[in-house]
Amino acid sequence: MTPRDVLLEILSEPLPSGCVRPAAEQLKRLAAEGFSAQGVACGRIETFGTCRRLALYVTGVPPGPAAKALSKLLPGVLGRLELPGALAWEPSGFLFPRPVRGLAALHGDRLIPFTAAGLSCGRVTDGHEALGPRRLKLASAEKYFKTLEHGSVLVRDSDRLDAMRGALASASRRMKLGIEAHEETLHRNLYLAEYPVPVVAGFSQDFLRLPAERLRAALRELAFFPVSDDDGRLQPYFAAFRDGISRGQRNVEDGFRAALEAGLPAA
Amino acid sequence: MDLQDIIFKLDRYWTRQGCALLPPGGAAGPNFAGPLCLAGAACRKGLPSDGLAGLYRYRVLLRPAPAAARKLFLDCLRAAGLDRAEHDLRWLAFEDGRGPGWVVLLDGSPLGRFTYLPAVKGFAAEMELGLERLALVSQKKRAISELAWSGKLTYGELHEGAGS
Repeated sequence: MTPRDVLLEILSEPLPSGCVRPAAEQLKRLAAEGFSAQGVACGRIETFGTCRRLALYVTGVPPGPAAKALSKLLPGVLGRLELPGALAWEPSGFLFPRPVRGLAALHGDRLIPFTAAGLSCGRVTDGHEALGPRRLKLASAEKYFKTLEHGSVLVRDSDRLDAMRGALASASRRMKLGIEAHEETLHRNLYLAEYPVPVVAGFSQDFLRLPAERLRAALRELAFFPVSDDDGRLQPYFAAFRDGISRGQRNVEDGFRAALEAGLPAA
Repeated sequence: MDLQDIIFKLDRYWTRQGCALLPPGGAAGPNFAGPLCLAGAACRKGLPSDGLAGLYRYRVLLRPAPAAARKLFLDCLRAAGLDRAEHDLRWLAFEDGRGPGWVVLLDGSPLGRFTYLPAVKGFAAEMELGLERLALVSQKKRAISELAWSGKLTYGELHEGAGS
């Protein structure tokens, strides 16, 4: 009997962006403790998070009696999460920062049955909200990331970060200008979009008369990226990310520009 | 879509959800603690500050909050003529003392707020939409004064230059 991977996904209403990473780290630590306490042999334990979901992924769990322990182990792990601002949203008393709307748990292609947060585990989840209500069926734990990618969700934090870095680099080549890919701004965007799509827009030249640092601060405040030439002089453009698909780019460009200009003093 | 049509569409949508139409700030005061589903457009004056631009709000109160409250909010935007796929919609979480919620950004600017208010049993969901913002996007206009209120009558004419 081949060992199979284990997936647990908690789908929730949009989480405070600052809480996703600490929550994923805590989930990883509690899962490691849970697997070892229950004596369930496993390979690597990883966790991922987006603004709408936390995912626990454990490789190489052998089938058999130990695997049966999963339907006790996983709710036990969830019950020990202690997240800032967590509230009881339904009568079960499960605490989470925002209401939980779905639970999926699979061992290979088998459902791990349990209930938590007033919900029964299933094998369906939601794709990206911008695509409208679309349920995704998970055939197996191993197919989780691919299935979600088809639903326009990059679950792995590192996939989203790579996608953002790649998009900024190619936009920069296209414009023949530098995009200031500030780490902190990248990390803010990381937990604001399940599928970051690049947006490049311009703003009125007049604002270049403002002190450069004032302009940079205004751009970063909105999680936008300043654009500058080889000598580091700001240009009347910025890069940003929207969440979801790339229809209506023009609407988003105009909107982002208006949001930026509304926050700047008249130059 | 004219601004008044947006209000009609929202009224129709929320009455279909079983809401009683009542301009916020009207009757049904805080003393009534039973289940309640209220909706209506109102002028901002007299309403608590919500950080949105413009004079008019569409407010909805669902008590208790159904599990689908957020989905209803998204659907009401569609009913008011907004195609979600053509825009960027973000939910920025906040906690303002009354309860946890979100500021909803449409293409980078505040469109509304959604707050879960602790109620006797569970939570109530309170939603606010800035009607001018919705109309600006729906009519693809830049200035509030240019918005069509009804047919040829503009927002600017009705408000003597307000928002220009």
